[in-house]
Amino acid sequence: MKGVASEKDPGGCVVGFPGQNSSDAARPLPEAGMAGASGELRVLILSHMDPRLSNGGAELAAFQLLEELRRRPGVRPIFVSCAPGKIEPRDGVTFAQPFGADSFVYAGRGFDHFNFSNTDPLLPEAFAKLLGELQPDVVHLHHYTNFGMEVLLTIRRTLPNVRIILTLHEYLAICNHFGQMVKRPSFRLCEKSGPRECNACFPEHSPQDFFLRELFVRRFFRLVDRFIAPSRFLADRYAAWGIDREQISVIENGVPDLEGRGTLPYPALDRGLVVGFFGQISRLKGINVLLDAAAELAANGDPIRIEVHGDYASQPEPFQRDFEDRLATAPQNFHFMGPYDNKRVNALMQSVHAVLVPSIWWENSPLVIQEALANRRPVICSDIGGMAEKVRDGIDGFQFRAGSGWALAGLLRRLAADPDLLMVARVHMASPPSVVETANHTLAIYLDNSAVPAGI
Amino acid sequence: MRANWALDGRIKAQIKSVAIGRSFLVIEGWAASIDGTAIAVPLAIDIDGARHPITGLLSRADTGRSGVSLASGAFCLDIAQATGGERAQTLSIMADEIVLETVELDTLPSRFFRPVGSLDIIASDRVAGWIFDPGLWHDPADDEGVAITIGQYRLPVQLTLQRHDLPYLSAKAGRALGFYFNPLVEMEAWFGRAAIDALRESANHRLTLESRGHVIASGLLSLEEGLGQIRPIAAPEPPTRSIAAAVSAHSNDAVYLQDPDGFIDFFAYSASLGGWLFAGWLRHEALERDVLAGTRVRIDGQMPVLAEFATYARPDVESFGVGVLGFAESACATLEFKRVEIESGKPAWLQTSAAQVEVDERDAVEEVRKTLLLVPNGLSTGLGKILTMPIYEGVDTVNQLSVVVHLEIDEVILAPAQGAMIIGWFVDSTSAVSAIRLRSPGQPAISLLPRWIPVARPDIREAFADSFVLQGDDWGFHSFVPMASIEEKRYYLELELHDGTIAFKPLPQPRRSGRAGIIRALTDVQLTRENVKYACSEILAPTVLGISRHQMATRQASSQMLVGLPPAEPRCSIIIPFYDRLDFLNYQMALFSEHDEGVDEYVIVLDQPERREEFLGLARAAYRRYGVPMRLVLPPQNLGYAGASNEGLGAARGEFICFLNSDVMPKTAYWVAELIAALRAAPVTGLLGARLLFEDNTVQHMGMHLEPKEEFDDILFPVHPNKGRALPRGAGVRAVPLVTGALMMMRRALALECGGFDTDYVIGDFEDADLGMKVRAKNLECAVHDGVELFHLERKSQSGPFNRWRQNLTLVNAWIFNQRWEPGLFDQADPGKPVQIV
Repeated sequence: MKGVASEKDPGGCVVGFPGQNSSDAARPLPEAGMAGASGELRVLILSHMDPRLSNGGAELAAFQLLEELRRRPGVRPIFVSCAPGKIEPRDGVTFAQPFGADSFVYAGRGFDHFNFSNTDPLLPEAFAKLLGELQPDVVHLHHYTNFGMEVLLTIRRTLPNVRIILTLHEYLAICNHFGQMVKRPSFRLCEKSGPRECNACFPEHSPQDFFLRELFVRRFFRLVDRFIAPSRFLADRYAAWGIDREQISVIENGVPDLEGRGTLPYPALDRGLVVGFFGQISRLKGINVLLDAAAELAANGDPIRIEVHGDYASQPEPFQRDFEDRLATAPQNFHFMGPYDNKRVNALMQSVHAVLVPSIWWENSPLVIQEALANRRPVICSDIGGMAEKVRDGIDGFQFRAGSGWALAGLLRRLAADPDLLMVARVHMASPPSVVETANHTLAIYLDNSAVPAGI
Repeated sequence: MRANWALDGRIKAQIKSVAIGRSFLVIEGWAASIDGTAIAVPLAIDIDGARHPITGLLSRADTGRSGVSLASGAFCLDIAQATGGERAQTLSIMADEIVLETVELDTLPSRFFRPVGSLDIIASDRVAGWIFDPGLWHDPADDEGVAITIGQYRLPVQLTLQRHDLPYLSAKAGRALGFYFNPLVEMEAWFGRAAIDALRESANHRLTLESRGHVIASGLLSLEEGLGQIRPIAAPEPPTRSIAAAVSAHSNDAVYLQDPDGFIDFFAYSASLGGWLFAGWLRHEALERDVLAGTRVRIDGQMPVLAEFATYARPDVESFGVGVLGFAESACATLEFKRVEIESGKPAWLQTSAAQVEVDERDAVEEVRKTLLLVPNGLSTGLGKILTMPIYEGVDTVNQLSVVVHLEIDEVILAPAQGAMIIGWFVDSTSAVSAIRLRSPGQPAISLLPRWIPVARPDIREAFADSFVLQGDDWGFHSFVPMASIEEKRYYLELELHDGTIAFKPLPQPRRSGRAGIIRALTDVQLTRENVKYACSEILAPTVLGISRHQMATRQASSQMLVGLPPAEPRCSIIIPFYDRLDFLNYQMALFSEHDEGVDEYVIVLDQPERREEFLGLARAAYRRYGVPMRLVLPPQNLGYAGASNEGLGAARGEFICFLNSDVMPKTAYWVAELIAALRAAPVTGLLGARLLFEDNTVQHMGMHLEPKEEFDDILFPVHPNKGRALPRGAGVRAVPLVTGALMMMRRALALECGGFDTDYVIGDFEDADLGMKVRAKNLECAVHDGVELFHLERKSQSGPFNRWRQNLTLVNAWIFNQRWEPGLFDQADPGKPVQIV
């Protein structure tokens, strides 16, 4: 396995760590003082959802890390997930074990999505007991929702010397709009949150409420030893919000089965350019940008075909109706291909010339970009946030002005006219990090015991 | 009849009549010393050689008037006579061994005795009266006794009440002639529920009083208003001493010693007539003295007031007097009504019979009016004129007036012990009305107009737009009527026109009390520079204070609950009342837990008792997660910030206490320790605050001073200098005039010495400034620690019409504060300097 980011692009998507050889994939553990009395490193991985019961990006990343750590000698990873509404809670049982040893599921109750507080009266004691039993050396939280911020205090009080790692996914602590940092209801991009600004988006919560939310989150964030961000952009946003930038490590989520991807030949270009969209069909994912671009291209008779693979069944009712209306009048060059099984994503992506990521929110580190890179298909994306960071214009793909169907149409027209641009990109585009690499970086953070435990 | 003079000529006596019963004689007469002094020798009646002492004398004005004697001298004596024996022949009045007079029975206008008596009161809850019938005790074999028949039921009556007011020596000797009972209770006791049910069938029942088969009196028991709940009444206390005993004790109380010239059978204060109505009887002698020519009376020794009288023939007292009806103009509605002195040339007074109590106003008016109707020209007497004034009968008569007057009452809010606020609207487009008065039984009528603020009611103008044009919108009003006690079941408004016409307006029952009452009282009022002091002092403050003081006085004790175990001897008790935003507890405890040293206790007061269970859940959940113990104080009623903080103070045990708002969140670490260290270092600091910041880090509080508000007639308000400014954190302690109540650290002993916060400041305003003034009055300083910062989220401003009541409450509190602490207390040149409070 080649070290990717640190070799190819030191300023790229993965930050290397001093004194660490990222190419040393299956390297045995160093003789660090972190390992517990048992001689093994016990890692508790907390995930706000369970990937065996749902399939969001964050829980998938957490689970991939777990499975990779299981393969490492001297490491005993233990998985604790939440599954609100997914498993039937049993009376008097806070942590169930439906998936066998070293895997616990918290049914979840009492969680407040505004301030991330969990008033479940049983959780603190049950969790403290579990921590006391398991005696982890490291607790790594992928997200804090469903558990509640207060678990950080429970962890610190129960195990004063434990190392607490928190991976930040999207901008939830900063933004109450599902952590997406777009204004409500306009969906304009938001540069900075604050009590007054947030109150403008959510008049039902006073500025004071937003201030309290922030005080509350910060009080518990002070208990974290190190934060992990999957993108530099996200790390910078949290730094601007108030976390010490030095305390945040950027580690890209790894892609599993990297070797099996990108093996199919590039489709012929003689019948015109075909670009594909993969994922949830929603307003924030930029579906309307695609429709606008399609209309623009159709009016001009350009030989460019836009394929949309994905589902919109879980979207709000008004959006569904709106999308269906627009679909009925969409031009010939716009093809809705319907939902797909994720197992087929490699083949589907390789059937197109480029992959579209037209999101109108910042994104963090979208899985679809990593999949496109793994499948060696250039990415055409909005020129903002995590997308602009991961897709270097002209190298990994091409950027257009976020939200503009007209700009996208122009870009596609340019690529159709000059397909060599795509060929060049295919040669120079980065490979995403593998799960093995991601696990290496993460382990290094687990073992970096130079810092004193944070907070009380 | 010729009087026999004793040999020494100093005592004369006369037997006026002898009535003959089966086994007794009733002898009436008089005796007097010619120099008018009291007779010092024992008097007796001799009947055929048997001596019967005369145990006391009754006053008799005619002897005084004819120059015979001023002292009491009359008697009416009953003497047992053996039945079946010889009929008595000779009667003598003896003074010691001197025979004053002897009469042969044949020569007297003797007659057979008939029992006398009266039904003084007939009502569904009490029947009272008396009987003089010596056969009851001289013919013990005669077991028929006294009874009252009501319909088919014959109710035995026990004579249990001493009636020394009656002119019989037996009565003076302590024999019970009176009775007093609850007819329904007695009926039920004797005849069961069936009797009560039978009574319910008709509205009126004739009562007949009998003694040993003789019918003495009868009257009508009216149950027009239906039978209420039957409850026993306590019999009146027996008199502590008889007048006869007082005479023999030669007391100096001249008026009391003198026998009354008459008795009052019932009395009532009539709010609608503005005075006392009473009825009873007057001795012939007093009438002959023309005592009723007097136009002023003193009731219970009070200031003389104007009075009107009327007399009428009353069969039950005809042998010794006449019935009398009276009215005394008086604003004093709460009197014992023991004695009415008539201010005439010769002193005369009426005594209230021992068994009598005040009766219902309407009953009294009705009774007196009915009696007057039977008297020739009765209604044209002064009293008659008073009584023919209209009386409130529960009906709205404003709309029957010949002029168009609209008066509608939306709501009455009682301010216990202070009065009532009356809210409504009033349109008098021809200015016909001269007065609107509140009337409540037992209280003088009080006018609404002197304490009246107009309130905008554009709906009224619009509603009348078709009929006539009203200028402006001020047709509503809030009025306050000061009245010590109000009987809301029977109160009403009386409206008087300039021509003297009277109309009545029923009042709705009070619906709101407590906090809801305060909110209603303050909601629609617009306070301005022109009206603020008047409105606060005359209308709003009395209402608010009446309600809140009543709430405080009737509050129930708080319960306490520990969540976790606070330190046994805390360094500081942090007292935090919670209201509305109970979720702040989660934030505060999460944030306090970061720098809690385990030596302070958190005294958490829930000022919203209806949310107790929710709050307990929040507190327990907070403790489980953050591990900070709490002492919960749970008053069973809402108390406002001051009251709730005081409850917390009562539960606190720390050497120091910190009054804290629930929306204050720590910024600097170990703020409690820092403040305490500063207090310990400077004994002159009584009250220490902190630098409080808004969420944007600008200053919310760094001390307060007072400033007049021009728009509210220069009432002094606390202002926060530098509020809203972005200033770097300071260091150290600085004396300031006053400190906000959002955070106040002080020694617990001092807080207790000051009595905590003054709860007259309702809900929360000015109690902090007030406490600061109290501390300064002890020559201690208020100060702020500029190096200790906390966030204070200060609730949104109280502007907007929906918060008008809150804004007005602030003004009321401001006015109270200004009343308490005269302006000019602060040295303007050096506002931080403690001031001498006189």
